[in-house]
Amino acid sequence: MNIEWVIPCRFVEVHDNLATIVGGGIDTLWVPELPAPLQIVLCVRLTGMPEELTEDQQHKAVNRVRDPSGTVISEMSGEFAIGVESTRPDWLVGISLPTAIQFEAPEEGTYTIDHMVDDAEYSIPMHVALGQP
Amino acid sequence: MQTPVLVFDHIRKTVTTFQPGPKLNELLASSASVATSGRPKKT
Repeated sequence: MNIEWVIPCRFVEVHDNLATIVGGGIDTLWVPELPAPLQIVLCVRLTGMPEELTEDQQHKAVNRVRDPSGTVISEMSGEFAIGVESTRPDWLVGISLPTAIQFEAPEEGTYTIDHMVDDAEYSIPMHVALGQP
Repeated sequence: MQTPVLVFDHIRKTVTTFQPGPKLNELLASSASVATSGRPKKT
């Protein structure tokens, strides 16, 4: 399994395994006060061999948030299963997944969101700024 | 194809799986933060 990309965005929906992403590329969240509860929508693209993405196979997804100093402030995990039809039996298959995270930022700075699926890992920076853009 | 939506709520310490639909975006619509890419230019 591989995480091809993770896109923070304002809106995502997936139909027929195709993602409609609106406002993709968010890297900064402006907040009126701190600490601030924050919510981010992510679109995650996974690829794997056809035998890795079947309806009877559970995958572990882990989401970790690190503060500006790199300290892990929260880590959570859940399980999911998805069956994907392959074009050819030996070709890679891909799946687009809408995901969301909510966390509380106690201070201004650059946070890191680590998203893991099984052994694959992908990290994105997210700036938290006090004030208006 | 049904794609699950995993919501990692680090504040309430829950992981919830939704089926596709508007619920995810409704859930997140209440955020007080403004999301941008960098600092937008003033017009």
